[in-house]
Order: sequence, then structure tokens, then C-alpha cells
Amino acid sequence: MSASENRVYSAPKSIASGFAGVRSVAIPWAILVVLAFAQLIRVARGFNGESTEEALYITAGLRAWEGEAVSDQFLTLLPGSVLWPAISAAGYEFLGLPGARLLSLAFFLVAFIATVLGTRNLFGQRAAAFAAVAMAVSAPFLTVAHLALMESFALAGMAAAFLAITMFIEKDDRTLLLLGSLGLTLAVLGQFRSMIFVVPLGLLLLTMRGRKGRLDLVVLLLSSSLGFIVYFEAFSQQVEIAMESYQFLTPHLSTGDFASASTKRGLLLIWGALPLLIAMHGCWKAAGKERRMAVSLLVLPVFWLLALLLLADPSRLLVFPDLAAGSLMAYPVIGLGLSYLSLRGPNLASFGLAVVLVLLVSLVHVGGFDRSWPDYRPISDRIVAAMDPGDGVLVNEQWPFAVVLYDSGLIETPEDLVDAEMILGNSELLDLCAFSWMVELSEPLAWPAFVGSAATSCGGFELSYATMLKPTYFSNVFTIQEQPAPAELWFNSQPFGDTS
Amino acid sequence: MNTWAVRLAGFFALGSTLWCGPWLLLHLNVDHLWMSVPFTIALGMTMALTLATFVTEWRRSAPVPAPVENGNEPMVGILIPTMHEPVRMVSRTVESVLQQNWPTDRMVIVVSDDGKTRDVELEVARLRKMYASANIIYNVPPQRGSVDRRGDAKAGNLNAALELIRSRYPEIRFIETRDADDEVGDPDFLRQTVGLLEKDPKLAYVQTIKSAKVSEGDPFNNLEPLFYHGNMLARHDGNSVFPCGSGLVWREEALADIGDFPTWSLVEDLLSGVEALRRGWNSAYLPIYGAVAQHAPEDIENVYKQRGTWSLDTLRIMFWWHLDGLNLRQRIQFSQLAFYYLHSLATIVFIVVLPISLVTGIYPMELSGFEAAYRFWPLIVSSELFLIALNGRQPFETAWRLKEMLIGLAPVYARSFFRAVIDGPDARYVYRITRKTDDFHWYWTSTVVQMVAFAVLSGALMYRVLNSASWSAFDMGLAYLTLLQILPLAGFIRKSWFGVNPFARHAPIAQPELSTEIGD
Repeated sequence: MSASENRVYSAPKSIASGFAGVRSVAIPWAILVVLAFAQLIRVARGFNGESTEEALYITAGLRAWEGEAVSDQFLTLLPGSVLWPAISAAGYEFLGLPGARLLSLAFFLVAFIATVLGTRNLFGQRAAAFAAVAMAVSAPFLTVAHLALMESFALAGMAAAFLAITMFIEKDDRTLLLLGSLGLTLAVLGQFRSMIFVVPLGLLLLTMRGRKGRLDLVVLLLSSSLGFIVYFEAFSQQVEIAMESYQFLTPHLSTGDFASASTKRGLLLIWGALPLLIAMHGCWKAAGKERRMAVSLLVLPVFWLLALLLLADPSRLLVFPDLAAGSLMAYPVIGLGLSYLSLRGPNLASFGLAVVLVLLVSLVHVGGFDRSWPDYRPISDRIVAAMDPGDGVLVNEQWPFAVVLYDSGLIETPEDLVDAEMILGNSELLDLCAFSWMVELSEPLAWPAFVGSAATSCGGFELSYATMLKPTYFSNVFTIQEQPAPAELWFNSQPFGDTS
Repeated sequence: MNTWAVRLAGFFALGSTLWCGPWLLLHLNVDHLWMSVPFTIALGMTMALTLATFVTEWRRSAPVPAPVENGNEPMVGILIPTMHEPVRMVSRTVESVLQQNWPTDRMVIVVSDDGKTRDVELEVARLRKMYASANIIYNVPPQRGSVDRRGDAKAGNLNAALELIRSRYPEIRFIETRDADDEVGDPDFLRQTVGLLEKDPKLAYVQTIKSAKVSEGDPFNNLEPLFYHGNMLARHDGNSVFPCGSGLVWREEALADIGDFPTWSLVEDLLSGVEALRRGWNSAYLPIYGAVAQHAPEDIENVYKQRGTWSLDTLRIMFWWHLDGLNLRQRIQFSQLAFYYLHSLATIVFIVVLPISLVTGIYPMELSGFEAAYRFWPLIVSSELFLIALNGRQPFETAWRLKEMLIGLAPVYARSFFRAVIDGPDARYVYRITRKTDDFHWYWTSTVVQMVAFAVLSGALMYRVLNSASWSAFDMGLAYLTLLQILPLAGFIRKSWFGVNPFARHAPIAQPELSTEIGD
């Protein structure tokens, strides 16, 4: 039996033929190369400094490598385990921020390959090629590919689990099911919300494995949940705080103030609902086993999107990473839908034109999102250049500065940086005059008025550097504009007192 | 044979036992010894079973085949004890024996009928006519309880048939025992087994795989794939193969040495093996299909009867019989079987302790989360991995079914334990033959204990879910362990109505379609 004959589902001849002259086998790999190259360049060019979350994860990872992540209470801040932070910190140690982002890219590419191969196993080569195209022009995926967030790692775990399960359905070897469980475990440890990914995998097993599917599901649930349970048991005090303080669907530290709630919903409709329409077309056209598989995969993305659209508090909704995390399983079905559309729909030229148009919109949105947080590098670079180890630093945006200063050895722990919360939350009054550096940012990260007054009264603070930060803002889904925000670095030439 | 996976998993299990065991003892909840002591003992039993299995499974091997050459076949006596088995069943068994690759004139078949059934006698006569060259004898053993009879149960029947063979065919050196419903699976059965016996004069008996025609998926684990495709190979390597009563060929001299088929136990097979090994005989296990039962029990009542007998016999032998003469490895092999049945007590303790902890928040151990994670969980994981490793290339259903049966039959095995201990060595039990037909009902009275356990565990889990103010108060680890009990228990309870079709219009009982699943 040839490999193609051995598929769970072999695409009908009509679908397999499709656009004349297009070799669907080569398409995903060609896309992979282009995608990897483009993202590589994007990362290498340093499109922006560390976002708050990237900085938090890397800092947590750096502390984890030193065995201090638990004592620092980092687990209360992470919406996943220290697995991804530790990995990203390793990349950061070698190549700085690009190193962490390159590792994220590597995991994304794993997710891409696994999703395409899984799609091929279920729906055939042609659907896989279309799924690859759809993923490659999707703003959510293009975004998470080059950000050192938890999503890429979690997606890699999910996609690996998906691939293993499709192979398991094909080969009936439960070692593959256990590998799928392992992938899911890694995904959940990467980011806790990935646990919901058990839904499409479970449905796939139940619909495709008949009576055996029930035991398969039990094995999947028991084996994949074990890692999380052990992790939770070990660090329950801290993990519990993290789980209760985050929204399950949008577990972000960042405020996500790059767009209004209505714009975010607009972006969700463009990058979530429209692809789902194509996927639903695939479900509609498919029949029998193929349709059951498509529906199994589509249940989660549909509910995920609805949940994001109906979020009561969309303030922490980052749209692109959130969509990517929940809609991965829509893409095999989107591939199927596109392969059906290609039968009677547009010719290759018009399809290509549509892809280019979507890609352009995607690049605009990705570019806008990538610059939606301030780039603090000019300020942090100056601090690193001039600061002496042990100098006290006041900055009301802890993590992007903490990661740089900590990695440079200028502070002993990330907690050495003092922000407004620490000042307000400290039962003993801090002597602000003892600090050597103070970073002044604009709202919502501006210091409370009394801090500014106290610093002025010290007499030693002098303006060292001033700049205009230019984070972008999505006024609507078609308009992205810069929002200039002044930032100043103050140096205290005569610090006195104790910073502790 | 390749046992690297078993060894690796075994080392992991051993390591995690050493890593966790002593530490657990130091963290007993001394304020609630009524709970912590039984729990610790139960956990100790789990560890003991795992470690005993690790030791016994260290090596597996199978004998090098030495089939008897054509033309050199010695005479073999074949004992087929019967008691009220359907005539057609007995007839098929005899015919399968005659049709194997062995000259019919080199076998003497004794159909020894404890049921004294005229139909069986007539069927034997018919077969005798049909196979003129074969020696087929219909025998009626002495009445149960009579002074002429050595053993009331099957052993008495076998001994009577053996005496008959000895008196009429003193030249016969090999004796096969075959249950009346067990057809020959491998046509070379006698050629292979007798070949081994001829090759090694110290070999007392050769056991082969006992298979059965079972319903799809073998819901009651009648095929025992872990036993026949793994465990028995290890026992062969340790010269401690268990005779299983059928698909078995004995050396007559060895039988005579142990005083023929033992009558102290309920069923003769296990004890006869112990006796032969004690006297320095060797044993062998040949992984060919020697017996394929035409029927395997597939209703809970019949399963209870069969497994209850096995467990009671095993535990009685372990507790009360003399094992001197067995070497250490053989003792460990036999002890492992006893541990298997004794583990039912541990299972019951777990089922009692878990809901108490879920509801009251009182734990048998005082463990901090982090320490529990790296001390306790490796033990749980390693136990499961070890079972998977033992399962080898068998489908996972096999291992899961074993879990279902182990937890579901825990009350049966526990009862056997108490009977074996309380009744003492002199107890005399009336042996009931395993029914050769299925009687499909919903055996709810037979599974009341399991259903109560299921309800209590599920209720306690639900209570904990509803009364947990926080994630850590919920205790996911405890919930996970509870699920590990609930799920196989549910699977076992489901078997209580196996074969019943609730949607049947008139007859509520449906006969499951028999498929000829033979091992793997």
C-alpha cells in the first residue's frame, strides 16, 4: 500500500486534480521556506523592543535557570509553566531578544509543519497545501511566529499532538496516542489555556476510532493531564494565584490597549470569522467520514471565536495571539474548504491575487501590532551604559527594563526595580532620594504626582535623556496610527539614603 | 527474548519505590493512624507486587522447538474429564485431538465422564467407529465420596482415567490433560510438546497457551494475553511454569512421583506443578496454542466462580502448603501470583480511603505539594508505565481490561483471601464446575459492592468539586487518583449486563456473537 493510499481519507480525484499544473506536494514546503526566511529577517531587524510579556517570560526564565523562579514568586505571574520562559531565556542568553524570538519562530515552524502534515493525513495533500497557504497569510499566526510569547511553544505542542493523533488514527498504534498526549502536555505546560485543545483531539478520536475511541479518550485525558496536575500539585500556592488572576481565554499581563473594544472585535471578525466561513464551506461540501473529521476540528475554533467576541472585558484581549491559540484546528478545515472552492471557484490567477491581497492586509495588521507597545530600548540602553551595579532605579514599567538590567548584571534581582505599585504597597516609606535613576513615562504608566514631587525635592535629579515613544494604535481595522508618548530618563547625581 | 522495556520500566518502578517508600513512612499522618496505617500497608502491597513482578519478569525465554520426527511418535494418553458438558462440545474436542498432526494409533483417548451421561457414551462409541485406528475409551470414574476415588473434584476424575491408562497401556510415558471443551489449537501440539519431553528427561510437563473463543474485545480477559504472552515466558525462564490443566502434557513418571493429581486443592493444576518442582523436576512453557476453549465464561456469576476458585486455590497453597524444595526464584514466581490476588485488599483500602480524604480533607500522609510532586507522583507514573511495558505489543485494551478486572474482582479475591486464612489447611470445599454456557442477565446483585464503591467515589469527588473554594483546595492530584479507580470500576460494572440487549423486543437476553479471537 502506498503512502497516499494509506491516508485516513484520500481526497476525491476531482479535488486532487484542482488547479492544473500546481504541484500541491511542494507548496507547503515552498511556503515554509519563504515564511521562515521572511520571519528571520523580521526578527533580525529588531522590529521592536521587548513587550511586557516577552520581558516577563525571559526574566522569569533567567531566574528559573538560577533556581530562583519559585522563590521570586514568578509562578504567580505566568499563565503557563516556566517551561517556555526557561527556553526563551536560553535564547536570550545567546543572542539577546532576537535569540528568544528565533526560538519562538522555530516552535512556530514546528507547529506549521505538524499542522500541514496532520491536514494531509486527514484530508489529503491538496487540502494540506491550502491550509499552508491560509496559515501563511494569517495575521494571527504571522504575529505569534516572531514574538517570544508562550503561544508559539503551545502551538507547537498542540500541532504535534494533532499530527500524532492523525497518525494514530491511521496506524492504530497507541504509542502515537501517547506521543499525542505528550504534545498536549507540553502545550498545556507551555500555556495553561491549551488544555482546551483536548476538545478537537477527543472529538477526532471519538468520531474516527469507533468503540476504541472511548478508551483512547480516557488514555488521552489521563496521560495528558498528568503533567499539569503534577506541576500544579508541586506549586499549587503560586499557580493557583496565576490561574485565578488571569482570564482563561486571554491570560495576558499586557493591557492590550492597542485598539478599542469594537476594533478588536472587527479584527476578530476579519481573522477569525472569515476563515471560519471558508472552513464551514469545507464542512458543508464534505461528506461522511471527512465531514465528521471536519466538524470535530471546527467545534473548538467556533466556540473560541464566539467566546472572544462576547468577552465582557476585552481589555486584555490581544486578538492575534488569542486567535492563533484557539483557531489552529480551523486551518486543516480551511484547507479543505479552499480545496473545494478551487474546484468551481476562481482560477489560479484570481486565487493568487486574493492571497496577495489578504497577505497585504495581514502584513499591515502585523506591522501595526508589532509596534503597538513602546520601544524602551533607547532608554534602557542608556541606563545600561551609565549605571553602576547597585544603583537604585525607579521605573513604572518593570519587566522591559528588568530583563535588560538583570541580564547585564546591574541589578541582583528583578525586584530591585521599583514601580508605583511597590511604592504604594510598601508599608515602610521608601526614600526616593536614594535612587540613582528614574524613568518617567506617560499615562497610564506615569508616576503618581507625589513621586514626582518627592523626586524633585531631592534636588539631585537631572534630565539625562528625553525621547518620544511612538506606539501604534488601531483606530479602526483599516487605520493604524502612531500615538506619540514622551519618555524621560532622570539621573540623580547625589543619591543619599537606602533604597531597600 | 527482548525485555529491555520491562527492565527499564522496572528500574524506574524500583527507583521510585526506593525514592518514595521510606519517605512516605516518615510522613504518616500520626493523628489518623486508623487511616494512614492501612493506606501505607496497601501502598506497600502495590510496591511489593510491582517489585515481585519486576524480579520475575527480568528474563523471558521460550524453549527451542524439538518436534518429534514423523514415524517416531510414542504412545500418548489423553485424559479428557467431563461432567455435563454438552455432548457436541466433548465431541468436537475429541475430534480436534484426533485431527492433529499425530498418528491416531499412537494416542489413547480417555473420555472420563463424571456425569455418567448416556449421550456421551454413545458419542464416544460413534467416534470409535469413525476413527477405527484410534483408541478411544469411555470411562466412568468411581462415585464421588467412594473409597475407590482419589479426589472428589476434577482430580478424582483424572486420577481414575490415569489408573485406567496405566492398567491397559503401561508403556505410555506421556499423559495429556485436556478439558472437555478445549479443542486443539496448533495441529503440531503433541509433536512439539512431546518432543520437548523426550529431549529433557527431567522435564515433568509442558504447558502451552490456553486460548478461547470469546466475544469481541474479550471483555472478561479470558484470553489472559499478559499471562500467556509475557508472564509465562518469564516463568519458563525461571523454571516455574504453572500447569493450567489443559493444553498440557505430563511425563507419566513425574505424575507418579508426585502421587498423581493432587486432591488437597480445589483444582489440581497449580498444586501438581508445585509438587513436581519441589521434587526437582523441570517445567516448560511452549508458546503455541495447545487449547482453545469452545466456551469461556462471559457472565459475571460464572466469572466470579472461576476466578474465585483460582484465587482461593492459589492463596491456600501459598499459605498452607509446603513449598520446601523450591528455589528462591521459583518461590518469588509463585509469590508474585499470590501478591496479585492479595493486592485486592490494597485496592479495597484505596477505594475506602480516597472518598474519606475527598470529603473530610484528612489525608493518610502529611505531604507538602512540591515534595509530593517529586516523591509520590513518580511512583504512580512508574506503576502505570510498568504495566504498559508488561503489556508489550498487546493492544492497550489488554492492560486496561486487566485493570478493570483487578479492581472489579477485588471483592472476590479478598473473599478468597479471608476464606483461605479462616478456613485453614484442612477445609474441604465442594468444587463446582464452571458453566459451559452463558446466562445473560443484569447481575446487579453480584455487583452491588462495586456499584456502591463507584457511587461513593463519584459522590465524594463531586462533593469535593462543589465544596472547593480554590484550585488547591480541590486537590487535582487526589481527584486524578480517584478517577484512576472510578474509570476501571465503571468498566467492570458495565460487564454486569454484558450480553443483555435492552432493546430486544421479547427476549431481554442476547447471545453475543462469538468470534474466534485466539490470543493476538
